[in-house]
Amino acid sequence: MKLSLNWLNDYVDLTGKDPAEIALRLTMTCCEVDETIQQFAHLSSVLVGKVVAKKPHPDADKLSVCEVDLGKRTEQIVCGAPNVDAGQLVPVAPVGCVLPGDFKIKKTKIRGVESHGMICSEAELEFSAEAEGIMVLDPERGFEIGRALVNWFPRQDTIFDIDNKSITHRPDLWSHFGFARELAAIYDLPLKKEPGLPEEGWKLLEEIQTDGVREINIDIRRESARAYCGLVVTNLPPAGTLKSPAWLTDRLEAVGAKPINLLVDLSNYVMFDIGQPNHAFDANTIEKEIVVDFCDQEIDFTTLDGNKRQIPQQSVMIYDGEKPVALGGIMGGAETEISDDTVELFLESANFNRRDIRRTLPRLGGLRTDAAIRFEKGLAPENAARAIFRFVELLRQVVPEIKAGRLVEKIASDPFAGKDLFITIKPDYLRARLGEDLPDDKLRVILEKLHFEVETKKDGWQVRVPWFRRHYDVEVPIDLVEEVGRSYGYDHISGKPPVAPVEPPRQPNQIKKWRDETVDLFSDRYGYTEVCLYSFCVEAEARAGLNDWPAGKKAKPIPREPVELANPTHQEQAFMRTSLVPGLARAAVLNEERFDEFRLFELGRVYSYTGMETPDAKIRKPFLSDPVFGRTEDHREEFQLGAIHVPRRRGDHREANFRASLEARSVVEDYLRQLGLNQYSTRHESERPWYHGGLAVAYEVKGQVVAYVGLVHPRLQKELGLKRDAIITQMNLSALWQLAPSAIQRWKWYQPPSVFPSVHFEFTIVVKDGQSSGPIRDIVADLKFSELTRLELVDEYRGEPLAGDEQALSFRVEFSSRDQTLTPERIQAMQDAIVAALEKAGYPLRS
Amino acid sequence: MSQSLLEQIQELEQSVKEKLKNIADLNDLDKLRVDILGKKGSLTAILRGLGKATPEERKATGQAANAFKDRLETDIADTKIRLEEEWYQSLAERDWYDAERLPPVLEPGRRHPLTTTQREIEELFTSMGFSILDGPEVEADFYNFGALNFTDDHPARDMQDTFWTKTGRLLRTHTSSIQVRGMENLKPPFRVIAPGRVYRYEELDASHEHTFYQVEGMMVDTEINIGHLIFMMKTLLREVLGRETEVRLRPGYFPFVEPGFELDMKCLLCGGKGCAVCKQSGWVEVLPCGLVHPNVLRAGGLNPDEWQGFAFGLGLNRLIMMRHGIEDIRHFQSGNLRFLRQF
Repeated sequence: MKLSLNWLNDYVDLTGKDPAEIALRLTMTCCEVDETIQQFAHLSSVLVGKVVAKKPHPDADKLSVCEVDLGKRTEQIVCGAPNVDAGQLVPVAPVGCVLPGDFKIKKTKIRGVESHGMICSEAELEFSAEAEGIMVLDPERGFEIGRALVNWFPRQDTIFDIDNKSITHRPDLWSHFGFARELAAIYDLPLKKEPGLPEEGWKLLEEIQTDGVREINIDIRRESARAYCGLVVTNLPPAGTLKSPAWLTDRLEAVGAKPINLLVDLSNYVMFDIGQPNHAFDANTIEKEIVVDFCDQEIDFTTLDGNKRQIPQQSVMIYDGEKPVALGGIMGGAETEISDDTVELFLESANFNRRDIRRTLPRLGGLRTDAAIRFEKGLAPENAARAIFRFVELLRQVVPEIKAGRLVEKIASDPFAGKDLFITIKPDYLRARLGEDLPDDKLRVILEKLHFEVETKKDGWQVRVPWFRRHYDVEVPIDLVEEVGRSYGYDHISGKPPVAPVEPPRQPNQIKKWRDETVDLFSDRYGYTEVCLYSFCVEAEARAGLNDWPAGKKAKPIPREPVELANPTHQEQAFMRTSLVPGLARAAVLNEERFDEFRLFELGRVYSYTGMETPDAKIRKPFLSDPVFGRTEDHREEFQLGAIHVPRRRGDHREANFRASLEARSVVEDYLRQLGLNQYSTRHESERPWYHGGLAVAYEVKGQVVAYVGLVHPRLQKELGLKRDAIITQMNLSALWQLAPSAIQRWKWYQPPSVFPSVHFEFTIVVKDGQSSGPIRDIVADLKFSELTRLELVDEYRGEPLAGDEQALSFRVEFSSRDQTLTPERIQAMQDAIVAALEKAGYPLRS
Repeated sequence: MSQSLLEQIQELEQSVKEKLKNIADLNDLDKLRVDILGKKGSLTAILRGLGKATPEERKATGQAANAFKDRLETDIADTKIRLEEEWYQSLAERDWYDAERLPPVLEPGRRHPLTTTQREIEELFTSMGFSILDGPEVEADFYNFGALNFTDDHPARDMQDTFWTKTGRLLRTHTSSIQVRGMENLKPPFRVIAPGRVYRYEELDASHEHTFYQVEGMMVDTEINIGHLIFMMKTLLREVLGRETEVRLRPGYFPFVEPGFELDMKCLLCGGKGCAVCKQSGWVEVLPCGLVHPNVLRAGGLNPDEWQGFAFGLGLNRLIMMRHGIEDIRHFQSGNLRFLRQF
C-alpha cells in the first residue's frame, strides 16, 4: 500500500521530518516500509521561462533557436517542438537540472548551435504519459518568470510503500488517517482532525437532506453483512460533466490509483483516506430495494471492470430486489455503475464478515481488489457510516448544491453492540513479559498515546481498547505487551539468559544420530559429496519409484500412491518424489561434462500416500525415534540414501563400470557392517526400472530388500540426457535403521587380539561368462565354520591356457581361532568341505 | 715341505685384503665371507690340516686363525658399511623415479553447507540443553496453520503461499509445525529445536526458493520474557557467524507469536549498502521470532496462565548465504559440484 506524505500531513504535522527517518521509525515500531520514493523532485529546479525570440535553426528545418527569459538571465535554447513560439510561458529545465529517468541537462551544441537548457513537454515533467510538443503555461495562472514550477504545481510528495503483509493484523492501518494516527503516537504529536466524524457527518447530512428524495430500503439477510448504510444523493449535473479537481487526481495518482471521474475518484479517495471501501451506484439503475444475501448457487455476473465472471455459490451478493448488482465487498457491477449521464447516485458503505470475503476470493482467481484486501482483514463496522459522511463532505466541496435523502443504516450483527472491550491486566504482567523494568507511569503513557484508556482498579488496570483496534487486533492481555514493547522499542530491551536446569537434552534423538553417522560415512569414508535435491518430480518417476522396495515375504504389503500437488509451480514438479534416483541422475547430467570422475549422494526423504485411516487425529506417535514419519497416518515419509558414481572416462568402459559397481558394493557392505547387519544376501536384478539389467544387484536382510547397486538404465539415461555411464546405489535407510540392532557405535566391545596363528587356504575356480560367481560366497558361508574369519577374492585371470570366455578367480580363505591353534586335521576337514560344497554346486576347482 | 698352516693363513689374509679393497657389491661381500669362513670356505679347509699338526703348532695356528677371523669380520663389517653408504648415495641415479610427476588431485567427499551449518546450530543448542525434534514435511493443516492461531478466515494464511496436495495435506510452510507436535509429545518445561526442509509456492529467483531450510526453536517454561528471547537470538547469531553482528529487532507479524518480531542482521554481502540479496535495504531478515501466542499453547494442551514460551524460526539458507557470501539461493539445491566442492 502506498502512503502519501502530503496526505498524512493533513492529519498530523510531519513537516520538517526526514522521510527516511519516518520510514525507519515505522519499520522499528509498526510495519515494513519497502521503499521511500520522492515524487516530482524535479519541479524545484524546472523554472518558468518566457520565449522572447524564436529564430529558425541555420542548419535544420525542424529546429528553432529560442531566446528564453529566465528572470535573472536569458538563455539560448534549441527546441525541436513545432508548437514553440515567441511570447509563450514555458517550463525550462536549465543546465544542471535532473529530469525523471536520471536525465541530466547539460550545455550542448545542436547542429553547431549552443543550447543551454531544455524547454519541457508534459511527458518530460511526468505530468502525462505522452505529449505532443512542449507544455505551454497558461498566463492566467499568474506564473512568475524565473521561479520554480513547484510553486504552481504543488505535486511534490514522498511516497512510503508499505509491505501489505506486515499490516495483515492491523485493519485500522489500511488508510492515510490510520497511519497518521499511528505516526501521531510514534512522534507524540496531536492529530489535527479526524475525517468522517459522525457528529459532523450527521450535521452535514441534515443540511442537505431534502424531502422527496428517494429512500432505498436495505435488507440484510442471513447475516451476510455486519452493517450496510446507503444514501441517495441528487441534484447533480450529469456525472460526465463533473471533473475531478487537481488536488484529487494528484493524490490518487500519487498513491498509484487511476483517476476516472469525480464520483469514482471520490469513492476511491475516501477508501484511501479512512480505509473504508464504499461504492457509488447510479441510483436510477436501482429499481427496488437493496438486498444483501449469499447466493445459493453459482451465478454469472459482469463486474464493473467489464469481466463476465462466475460467482461461486455462497458469495455475498448485493441485489436490487432479485437482480444481482454488486459482488459484496469485492467489486460493483457493470450495469449499475456510474455513467456519464448519471445525475443521481446511491452511495453505499458496508461491513462484511471477513470469512465470507475470504471464502469467495480464492475461487475468483485473484480478484484481490483494494476493497477486498481491506474487508478480508476484518474492518471495524463503526467505519461504515463515516465513509458516507466523508464522501458527501468532499462532494459538496465540488458540487455545493447537492441534495440528499435520509441515510439508511442497517446493522445485522455487531460483536460489541455499543459495549466497550476492556482488558484487565496488572502492570507487573507487562514488565514480566517484556523482561524490562518500566515504571507504571511510562507504561500508562505509552498505552494512552495509542488511544487505550487506562483506569486503575483494585485488581489492576482496566484498559479500554479503542473502537478501531478491537476487531481481530487487540483482544487479550498479551496483545498489550506488544503495544507497549513496540512503542518502547524492542532494541531497548536488554537480553538476559533464561534460567533453566543444568541437564543434557532430555530427548535423545536416534534419527539424528543415524543421519549424522550416515552422512559422515559417505562423505568422509566413502568419498561421496553430499547434495540436497528437490522433493518434486514428474508423475512417471513418482510411479516408477513407488515399487523400489517390495515388501518382504512375510510382511503385509502397504498400498502406496504417489503424492500429487494440487497447485504445482510447474507441471514437471507436480509430484513428490518416491525415489532419489531421478534427482541424482539429473545432478549427474549437470556435472558430467565438467568433471572426469565424481561421486554424489543424498540422504533425503521420499513421500507416499497409503490411504490408511488415522486411528485418532490427536494421537500421533512420537517422532523422535521412529525412522518412518506417519507410520500410523495416511501419509508416509521415509529416509533413503541415493548415490551416483560416474567413473573415469578412459579405458574400457565395461571394465570401468564393473569396477565402479564393485566399489559401490564394497560401500554398501561396509555400511551394512557398520549397522551391525552382517547377515545379508545378494541377488542379480534384471528388471528394476533404474538399472541396466546386466549389472544390478539387490541386497536383502531378513528377507527384505534394503539396497541396490547397479549400472544406470539406458532408458533413464536417454530420458534425462545423461551421456555417461554411472553406477547408482540406493539404500532404504528407514528399513535398515529399523533392522539395525542399534545405532552405529563409535565404540564397540573390545576383543583381545588372538594369540593363535591364522591359516590361509587359496583356491581357484574357473567360471564361464554368463555364470555368476555370486553364489560362491553363500556356499562358503553356508558351511557355517566359526573358524572361517574371512573370504576374499585375491586374483582374477583371463587368457592362456583358459578359453576365451573363461575366467579364473582365486579366493583366499582365512581360518583362525580365538581359543586354540587349529589342528592340521581340522584345517584339512574344513578345506575338504569347502571344495566338496563348491564342486557340488558346479564350481569345480581348477586343477 | 709344504707351507705351514700359519703361512697359509697369512697368505689367505693377504689375498682377502686385496679382494676386500676391490669389492663393489654387497652380494660379492657376502659371497667372499662364505668363501673364507663358510663350511666349505678356505679357512675351514686350512684348519682341516690341524689334525696332523703338533700341539704347539696347533695352538699357534688356532690363535692365528682366530685373530684372522676377528680381523676379517671387522673388515667385512667396515666394507659393508662402506658399500651401503655408496649404495645409498647412488640411489638417486640407480633407482630413479619421476618424483615430481603431477599427482592426481585428491577429491574427498564433502558435506553440504546446509548440513554443516545445521549441525553447528544443533551442537550449539544441545550444549544449552535443547532437544532436537523432527516432523513430517507433508503436514496437516492443523499443525501448520490451525493450531498456530491461523483461524480458517485468517488473512495471514495468504502470507505464506502454500503448496497443497491432492490428498488434502499441505507441504509445511515453516518448521513451526513442530511447535504443537512438540507440546503434544513433551512435558513442560522443555526446550527444543527442529531443523528441516520447508516449502513455499514461489517462482525461483536469486533470493526466492520454493524449497528451503529453517531451524525452529522453542522454549517453554514458567517465566519466559522478551529479554530471554533477545539473549538467545544474539547468542545464536554470534556463535554461528563467529563474531558480533549488527542486528535490529523490530515488530513482525506472525499469528502464532505475540508479540512477534523480525530480527534483521546487517547484510554481510554488501556491508549494509544494499544489494540483490538484501533487496537493497542493507538488512536481511534471518530470524522471525516472538513469545508463543496463548492460543498456540492452548492448542498444544498447555495452560497459558501457567506456561509461557518463546519461539523462533531461523532461515538457514539466508544465514549460510551471509556466512559464506553466497549471492544466489538457487545454488543450494542445484547439485552443482562447482558450488559444492567449495565447502
